[in-house]
Parts: sequence; C-alpha cells; structure tokens
Amino acid sequence: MSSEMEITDELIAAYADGMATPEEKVAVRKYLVEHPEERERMVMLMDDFPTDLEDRDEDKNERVFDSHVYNMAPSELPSPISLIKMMAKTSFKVAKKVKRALSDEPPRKKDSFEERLSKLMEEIDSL
Amino acid sequence: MDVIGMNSFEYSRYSDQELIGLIVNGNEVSALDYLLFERYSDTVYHHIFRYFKTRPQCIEDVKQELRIHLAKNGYQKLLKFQGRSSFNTWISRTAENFCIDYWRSSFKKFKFESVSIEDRPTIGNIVLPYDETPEYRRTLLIEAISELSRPELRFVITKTLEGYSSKEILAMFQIWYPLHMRDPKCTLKNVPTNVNNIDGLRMEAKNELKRILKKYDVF
Repeated sequence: MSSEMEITDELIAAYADGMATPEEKVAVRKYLVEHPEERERMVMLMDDFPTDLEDRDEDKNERVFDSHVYNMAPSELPSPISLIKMMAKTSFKVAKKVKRALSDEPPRKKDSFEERLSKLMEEIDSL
Repeated sequence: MDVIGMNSFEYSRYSDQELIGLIVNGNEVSALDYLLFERYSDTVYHHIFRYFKTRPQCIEDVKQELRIHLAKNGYQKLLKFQGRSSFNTWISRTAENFCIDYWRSSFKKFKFESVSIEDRPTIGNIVLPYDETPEYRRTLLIEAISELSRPELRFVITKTLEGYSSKEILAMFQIWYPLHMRDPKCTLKNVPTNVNNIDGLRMEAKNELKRILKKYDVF
C-alpha cells in the first residue's frame, strides 16, 4: 500500500531523478500534496546546477540598498541632497529602483514558489 | 585523522559507489572528505548557503557538522544510500535535512511551514480527494519536470520556478553550458546569446511538459 510506504531521503532523491517505480511515485505524490513545503525542495533537488545569484557582490549591494530605501519610505523620505549622494554611490540600475521606490508605485513583490508554480501550470493549460 | 587515505587525484578515478565502499568498509575518512569537500563541494556549499546566508559565520561549522553526521554510528547514513538516485541528488537532500535540523536545534524561533492533510481545500463540508486538488496537479507538474528529455529544458524550468528572470538564466547558461555540452541528451549546438533564446527554450519545455502531463487522467 502506497500510504504505508516509508518516504526516505533516497526515495525522494530517486523521484527527483525520475527513477522511482510507479508505486513509489504514487506514494511520493501523496506526500508532496500533504507537505507543500517539500515541493519547492523537490524542484531544488531537480536543479542540477545549484547556484545562488545572491552571493554575487553586485546583487548583495543592491539588496542592502533596496532594503535601506524601502525601510525609509514613506515615513522618512530622504532629502534631495542625500538622495543624490546615495545615487552617486550606486549604479544607474539601482538609481532607477530608488525612483520607483519613492514614487506612488508600490515595490514589486517577488512571487512565492507556489505562485510561480501555479503560473506555470496556467501557462501550460493555455497552450 | 585517517592516515591510510589516498590523495584527491587517486580518489578522482573512483566512482561515487566505489568511494562509498572505501568509506564504509575501509573507514577511509579522507574519501568522505573528498566526496563532500571536493567532488560535491559546490552542491554541499549551495545547500548550506541557502539556509545560513544570513549567518555566514556558521557555514564552515555546518559543513564540519555534516561530515560528522555522515560518519557517526559507523556511517549509518551512508549505508542507507543504495545508489537508486545519483549521489549528487542524495547528498543534496541529506544536506538540506541536516541544515533544517541544525537550524531547529540552534535557533529555536525558526519554524518551517507545514500544512496538515486536514487543511485540504473543501467544497462546502466535503474534503476533496487529494488527487482532485490543485495541489495534486502542481505535484504532477513537478514530477513531469523530472521526465523532461533534455537537460537544457530542465535547467530553464527549474531556474524559472526558483524565481530567476530570463536575463539571469541567460547569465547562468554561460557557466552551465560548457559543463553539459558533452551530455548526449543536450541538443543545443551553441550557448544561448540573448533572452529570446531562453524564452524559446522555456516554450519548448512547456510544450513537452504538456505532452508528459497528458499521460495523467486529471489533464
């Protein structure tokens, strides 16, 4: 019975590699449905080129700067002079983000994994 | 520390399974170090980094703790590896679980979201069978990704689901492609040069996913 099958690390790994048996697939599917947090981890396992752009210095600097700006707005908007100083220290790309952050437009929120998965599902359905 | 171990060059000639045999049967700790910190160092680092990027001072400790975790009780953990998946996937899963446990024991406030079976979507008072839920369809979609025929399609889709933009995926392709161009399943003749190429690959992947998903009754 699939419900009695133990979900081991090796079974999860075999599923990610497409090497699980049909019975095992049924058991892992049920497990993934009941443990949504495991779905994202499964996709990470399927990714054979683990990398993280967040460890790039440029991205890291941008993120630190973004959080600084977002934390200030809207209660403590920087003065024009301090804004120019900040902009001078950053790239043009980051400066555009500052402009967006200080405008009425709310900062764009990054989708969650489940939102991205749903979006992909919808795109496939519409093909 | 182990004194009978070979050097990295000698270990590089052994397969993963042969190295595990050396570790488990011959107690060659240096072979374990080679697997963890050389052959799969990028994989191990990546997973630890994901969990501890806000506490970089912990990363080295976690790596060493993972090594101890795999070696304890006569390599019980390694003995469970039967070679049903690639070692890369297995060590990814093991490293992630270890990081979660480490977090839980070290930083008590840390919690992982978990949804009980009782939280399944309902229509009125009726709980939908799990295989009729949107979650089930999304799970099948993930399974279908593992069946994609070409590594470049799998690469683009997994990176898309991890939230990377086409531009970022294009940048990553420049590193990924030289490592995979000799894979017989990889049919790309040249490395993509612009985001349109990435979008084209994503569209190919979606079409193939649709074909794979048609095998299931719910589609």
